[in-house]
Amino acid sequence: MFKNIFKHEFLYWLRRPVTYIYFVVFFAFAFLSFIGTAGFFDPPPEDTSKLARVVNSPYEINYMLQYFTKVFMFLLPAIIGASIYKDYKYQMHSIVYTFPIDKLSYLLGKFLSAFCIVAVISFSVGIAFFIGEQMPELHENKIGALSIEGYLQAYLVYVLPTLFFFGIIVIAVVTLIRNIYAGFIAVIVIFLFQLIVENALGGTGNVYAMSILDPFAQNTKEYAIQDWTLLDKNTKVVPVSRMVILNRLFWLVASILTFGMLYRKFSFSEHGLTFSLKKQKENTLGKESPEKVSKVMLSSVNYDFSWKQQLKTIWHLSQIDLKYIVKNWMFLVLVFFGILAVLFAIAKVTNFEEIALLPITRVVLTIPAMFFTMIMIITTFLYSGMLVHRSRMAKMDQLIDSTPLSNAVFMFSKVLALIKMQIILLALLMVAGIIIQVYNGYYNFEIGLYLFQLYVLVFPVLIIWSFAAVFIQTVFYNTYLGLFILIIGWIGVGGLPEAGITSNLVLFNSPPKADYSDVNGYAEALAPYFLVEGYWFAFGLILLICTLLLWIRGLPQSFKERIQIARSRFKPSVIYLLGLLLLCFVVLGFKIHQAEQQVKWATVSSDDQKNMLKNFKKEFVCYQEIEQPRITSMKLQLDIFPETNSFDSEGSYVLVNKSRKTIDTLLVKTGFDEKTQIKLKNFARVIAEDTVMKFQVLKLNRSLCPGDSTHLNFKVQNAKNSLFERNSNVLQNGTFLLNDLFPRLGYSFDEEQKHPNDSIALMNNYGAIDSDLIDFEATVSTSKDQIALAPGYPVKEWEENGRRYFQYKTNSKIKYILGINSGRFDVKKENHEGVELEIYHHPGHTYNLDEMMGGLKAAIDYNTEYFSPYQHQQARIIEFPDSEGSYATTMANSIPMSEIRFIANTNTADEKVDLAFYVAVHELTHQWWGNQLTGAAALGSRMLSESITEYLTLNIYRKRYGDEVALQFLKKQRERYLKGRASELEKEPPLSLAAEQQYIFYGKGAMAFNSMAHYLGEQELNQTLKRFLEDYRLRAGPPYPTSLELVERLKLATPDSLQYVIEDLFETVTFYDNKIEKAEVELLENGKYKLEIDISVRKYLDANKKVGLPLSAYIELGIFDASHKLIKIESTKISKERNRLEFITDGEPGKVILDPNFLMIDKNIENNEIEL
Amino acid sequence: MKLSISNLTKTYTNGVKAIDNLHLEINPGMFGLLGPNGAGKSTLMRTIATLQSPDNGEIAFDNINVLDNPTALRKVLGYLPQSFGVYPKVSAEKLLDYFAILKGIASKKDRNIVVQEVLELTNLYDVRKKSVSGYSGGMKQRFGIAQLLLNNPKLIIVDEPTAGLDPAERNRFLNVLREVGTSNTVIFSTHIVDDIKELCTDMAIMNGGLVLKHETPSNAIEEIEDKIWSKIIDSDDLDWNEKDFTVLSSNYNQDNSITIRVFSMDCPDVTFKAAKPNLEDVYFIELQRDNIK
Repeated sequence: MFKNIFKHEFLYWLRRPVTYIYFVVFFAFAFLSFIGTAGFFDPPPEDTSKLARVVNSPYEINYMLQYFTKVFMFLLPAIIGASIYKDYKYQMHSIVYTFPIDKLSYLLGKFLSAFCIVAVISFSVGIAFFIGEQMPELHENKIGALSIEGYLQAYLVYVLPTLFFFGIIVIAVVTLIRNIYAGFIAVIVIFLFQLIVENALGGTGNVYAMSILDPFAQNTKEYAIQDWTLLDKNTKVVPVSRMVILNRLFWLVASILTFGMLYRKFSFSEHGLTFSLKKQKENTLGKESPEKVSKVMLSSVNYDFSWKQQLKTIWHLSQIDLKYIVKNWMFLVLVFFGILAVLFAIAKVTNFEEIALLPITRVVLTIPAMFFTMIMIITTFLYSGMLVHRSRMAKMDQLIDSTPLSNAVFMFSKVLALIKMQIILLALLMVAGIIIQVYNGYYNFEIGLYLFQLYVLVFPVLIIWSFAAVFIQTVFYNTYLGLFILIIGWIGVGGLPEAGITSNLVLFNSPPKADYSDVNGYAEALAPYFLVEGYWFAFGLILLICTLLLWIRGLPQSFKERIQIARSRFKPSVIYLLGLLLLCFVVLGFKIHQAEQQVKWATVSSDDQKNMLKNFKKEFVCYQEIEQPRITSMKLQLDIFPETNSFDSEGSYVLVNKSRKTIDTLLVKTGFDEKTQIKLKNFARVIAEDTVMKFQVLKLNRSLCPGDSTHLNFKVQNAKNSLFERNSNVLQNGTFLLNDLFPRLGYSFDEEQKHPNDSIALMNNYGAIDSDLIDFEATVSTSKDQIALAPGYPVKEWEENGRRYFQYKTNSKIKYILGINSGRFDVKKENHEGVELEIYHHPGHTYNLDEMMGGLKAAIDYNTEYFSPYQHQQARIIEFPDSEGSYATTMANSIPMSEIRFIANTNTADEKVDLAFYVAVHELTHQWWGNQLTGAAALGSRMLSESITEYLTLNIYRKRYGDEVALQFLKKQRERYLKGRASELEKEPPLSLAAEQQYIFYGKGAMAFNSMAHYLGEQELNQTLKRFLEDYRLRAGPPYPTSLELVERLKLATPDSLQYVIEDLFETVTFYDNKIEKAEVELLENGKYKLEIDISVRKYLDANKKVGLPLSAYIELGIFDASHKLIKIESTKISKERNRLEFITDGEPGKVILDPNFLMIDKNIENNEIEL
Repeated sequence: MKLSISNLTKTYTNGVKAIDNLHLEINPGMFGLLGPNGAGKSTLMRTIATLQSPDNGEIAFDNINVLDNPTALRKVLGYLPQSFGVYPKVSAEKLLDYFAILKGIASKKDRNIVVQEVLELTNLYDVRKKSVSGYSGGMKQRFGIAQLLLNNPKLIIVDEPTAGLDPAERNRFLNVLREVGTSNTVIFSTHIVDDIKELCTDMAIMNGGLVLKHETPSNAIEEIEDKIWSKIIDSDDLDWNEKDFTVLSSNYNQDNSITIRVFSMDCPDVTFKAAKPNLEDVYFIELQRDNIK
């Protein structure tokens, strides 16, 4: 019996065209995206030796197939669910169920045959990748060796089991509830479940539980290989970790149990299970007596088909349809899980992320709102199908279609019902956001912002999707095919930008981003947003008209007949309306096109940009070595116009020839986006120029002899702003301008940093090749209600012509790294040890001001105590909006700091880093390490600024919050290093030669200096640093210090037995693999405890993991009692791999941790502790 | 209030000619459309009910050009299809209210009045709160009548409404339909001759997309007065009887003998007795004629 059912069903699906449509669409989609990412459509790469993401590595194949699995999930209800559902739909079940079929054969036959079809369709993607790999013209560096193992593993461990497990769950849901849509809802719920698991248990949560519960084992796999570098990902086969196996077993058991339940509950009966809160009443209706029929005389009532009444009817019918959607338990399940997912997502942003943020409204509205929007779009797709096909599904269509109501009323009522559903979902999102805010004790609900973001920005996107969904569902008679096409289309549109298609004219319903900042609102993003949405709205209305023409009324036989009917409906009124909409569409499209033409850079592909740079370098690299004078002084007059997002400036440099050669050629690089005019006193002519890169080679009339000076004057203006592109960083509020606006000297296109041994490298300081330290003076004007800030101290402030003017002047020399701000600020001021501390912040952003002040003070205290006095009389923190970056930096006596740091949540300091305090400390410490001491423009230079600063910040942090919290901080640095190196594209350099790898100079750097301080003592290490600082403090010229020099000084200060630490942490990429093998406790007769521990220690170079290095290291062992309180820390010298250690303790040991202070770098610390 | 159909043709995509250049004029009153399964009755009725578009032809009702202006017809149309479903778990009262909206009754009060009236008329008032999906076959058909009455239709089309009903339900249903049909044009298709006999003032017999005969039932019977003969034969003799005579129908008796009815201008032979003609005879005569063609 099973065989027959299986065969019959399998052949049924093979006969259906839709099976092949699914296969072909998936194949095409996968094939194009594969060869696309492999560079098929791009010009060949310049440098194939560079490490790139290999797209056919087992890891990538796995990754991409996981992605496709999510789309395959929708095939489960459409095929597996439908295989049973069609028996109900065509009322076959009343016949089929009377046949002598046993339940098991029926269910298994249906399920396995349909599962095989789904599996075969899923192979389309694997086949597409496989063929894709063999294509010619792919980029060599993106294609590795073919790995059949990778494919097999992806399918056998992930794709097929996942489809199998959830296929069972879907068939159970569809069979028991007898509603195919319940199957789709189940799929969405599974997605939401993954999100919940990821957000609730991922990160710092219970990773173990997350790994087991993840329905797709996606996080499980990623967690298992979180330390993998790109090279690993390119070459290794993803290991099937124990957790992955457990995960698969868990879901296998869950699905088998589900099937068991299905088997028990399923019966060949006429009616399905119904879920109702009320107890079902007896449904048999009483006997009737044949009564005499009364005369047919119906009261005469009004029949109204007026326009007004039709509108009312649309409203009325939409209410009925809305009730049908909303009053169904499926919708409630969906909403429940959706809201739950949102709550956890918000909770993650506000608690678990690296920067824990306060749940201010704009934070709640970003990531959580984004994926709730995704849920709303899928829900719209699903329910559009249910509404459009509702009467046909219930077989009530003939009754309804013969009523006199017009097609338009039916269609608009359904669209309106969808829109109302969206309104409800948006409201729920808002309520969820407010609940989370209340839960976190945050009561500043910005209802206006909620309403604007959700109902003015998100809502139109949803509405347009509902138009498209109703259109597609009307065109396609098959709901599932319609749903599938909508989902593929939606994903496809999302993928177009990656294929290089970025025009708003093509990217359906994808308005440009409109990010909100408390400081600057939506900035200028709204106009383009509404323009693009208006364009697509017109398009959506055109789709609706087409929907109306194709609306199914009655029983059309074929698509051909539907077209004929559509033609007959093409009446003049329709033509006029369509014409009008087309006109709107074209006019708006033309406007968008025009605006896009004005966009300069966004339209230039990154490949073209690379080519431009390449060509430029070819021509101009010859000027690289030419000696240049240095800027020693700058005067600036800058007018900021916040209302028009523009600025105007005039300034002058004093240039001094500090070299020993005569200079007759000047290399000037001006701002990319700005219009710059240069005036030079003894300028002769332009020798060479590149107008794209804005680079000029100027010949001087009279050469500049050594020691001579001259003036360079300039006028800089921003290029005109266009709708899609703001050509200046002037904002309506919170402007933050950088020195890249102004002309700079020299050839600065050398990407590779020099080795610190290179003597030329010592001639320049890090970050500027045209200046050492400069004097600076500026007059900045801005609108009347704003404060403008520039480096230096305020000299004068006045009002003129309704504008506000500020004059600033430095009284000590600064590095040429400038920031100029303008905004409506509130100011908090304090004086600490003679230094004016000021925080210029957005009104309302007062959450973290005390912590920031505390940070500034602590940094001044610590650095003054250990190193030298603060070189300015003032320290100002200035807030700038999130749109300009999320960082903080130090510029002269200012610390520009991103908005995001003002809304960081510092209440979680017990386990997380108190970000506000930390950043203030870090940035102010840079005044010593970065500004008083400036490294050379060479590799390793950032170790001198960032690593030392990060280490000192850790010390200050420890002083303030204690050892526990500081250890958390250090743990974060360790994670930062290990996670960061996973995405390293090249060979990882040692700390002393790090270039721009943040994970090294922050993460590893902090660990390295911390370990040194631990071994040498904080005092001793700081002494060494102090002497180093004193030798280079505020140096106004070369040679600049290097990392190698500091390493040498450290070596001198370190005893021989500890020299290995410097080698391990600073000079090489070395790891330890430490492990506690066994630990035993014994109670001695004297009441003390004897602890015996077997540990293994292995040391290896990253470049050669297999070879263990000779050991001679001190390793710490922390002994804790049962309540995890430290009993003692013992340091032992280890010189062989396996060691047995013995300790006697007074208290009873409960737990031992190897290297509890993270002094060594061990990739796996899970086996470094043991509970006794 | 006359429905006239001319030159109507409909061929399905699978090549079946469901309606073949059909002409028909239907006057107010009960009109029965009789024909075997597959005769094209349903296609014709769906076409009149504006649910299908013909390849050719004209349909006019009371100055309404049905094909050009379907909405105008729908306003005066009541249609009960051969089979229909309803939204599950919705009560009769709510569903009727829904249909009343679709049929243009704007005010809630009016809808309440009309819904109550049609519920009473179709004897469904007591079960108005029950969901229609739980109704028995006869109740569901009466619900079908209730919904079609909501707009006080002038043209009522009911497609094989008595199929599958038990005798009591069928009676109840026909009574309702009779009441409805007194002042309107009712087209009623069936393959059960008795339905027409009990109800219709006019009728047509249809097969293969053509109207074979259009006549009032009484006239049609009158035409074959004295031309119907019957005899009781042994069941083994049916074959040669069918060969020799125009056998219209053959019915088994209790003793396994068969009563046959034969159409003949004169008495075929002495074994036959003259029989009183009935509508069934008319129907079979027409079908046999059609088959010979």
